[in-house]
Amino acid sequence: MTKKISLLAMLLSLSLVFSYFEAKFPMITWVPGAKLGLANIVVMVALYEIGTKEAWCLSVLRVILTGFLFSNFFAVLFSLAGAFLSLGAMTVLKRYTELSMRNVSIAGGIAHNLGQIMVASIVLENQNVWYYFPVLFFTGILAGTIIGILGSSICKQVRKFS
Amino acid sequence: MRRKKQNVVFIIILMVVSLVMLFFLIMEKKRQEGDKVLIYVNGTLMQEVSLDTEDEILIHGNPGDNVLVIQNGKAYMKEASCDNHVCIQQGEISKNGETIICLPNQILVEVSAENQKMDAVVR
Repeated sequence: MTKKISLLAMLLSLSLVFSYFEAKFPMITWVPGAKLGLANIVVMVALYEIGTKEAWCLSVLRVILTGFLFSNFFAVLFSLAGAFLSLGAMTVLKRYTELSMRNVSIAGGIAHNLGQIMVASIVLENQNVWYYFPVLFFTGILAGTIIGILGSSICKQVRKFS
Repeated sequence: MRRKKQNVVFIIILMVVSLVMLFFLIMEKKRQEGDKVLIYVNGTLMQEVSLDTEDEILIHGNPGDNVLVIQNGKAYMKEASCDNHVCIQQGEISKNGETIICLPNQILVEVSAENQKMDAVVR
């Protein structure tokens, strides 16, 4: 139990470092607002190697902590919507289908952006924000693919040791 | 075997949806030019400005302020109090239905065409 808690704490701080890094040095700038979401590598690895519950805890805590450390309340709301939808989709797909980790991650990426635009349309009370969805759909696929490939190769390495 | 089939089906679905999204993207390029911008804060309409003017507008958002510039029939965000500046990166808008969104300050700037109300909303 203690071992698990310390492992999760380490993973949480690792994901915070990733989030901090991305907040300071946004990498992809040609699409406004799009990010790779490096911290999701940690969440993905936790989902596959530790467990569903643990991955959810990690994700929610990460969003809340990064939100209050590097941005504001509304940013937390948006990130939470993205995180919930993304992790929800990934949990369901992982449990009920035999999709590869990369494909699960792609679905997660799309779901994340869908969640953000849903909150945007609710908070701003404007349906025109959906015009932006096609672009976010493709950035979701791109980010999901990269995160999925990185995550699955990390999982392979982790399995060698455990 | 089942595993492989599911992955192939997933990729096919992804490609079909991508094509639909690509279609929407192309449609977006063809939209008509608008003639005014609507400025919303927190979902309520604060200001209506014609795109024919040359102007710099200070928008009192929640909690910070942004500066919107209208020039040559186009509008863009010049300054923003937040630190990610996504709205500035969104660039110029001029077509009916196009938006600039500033999530931290809950500001939404939308182009509208006077005579023709929004006809299609992508849901």
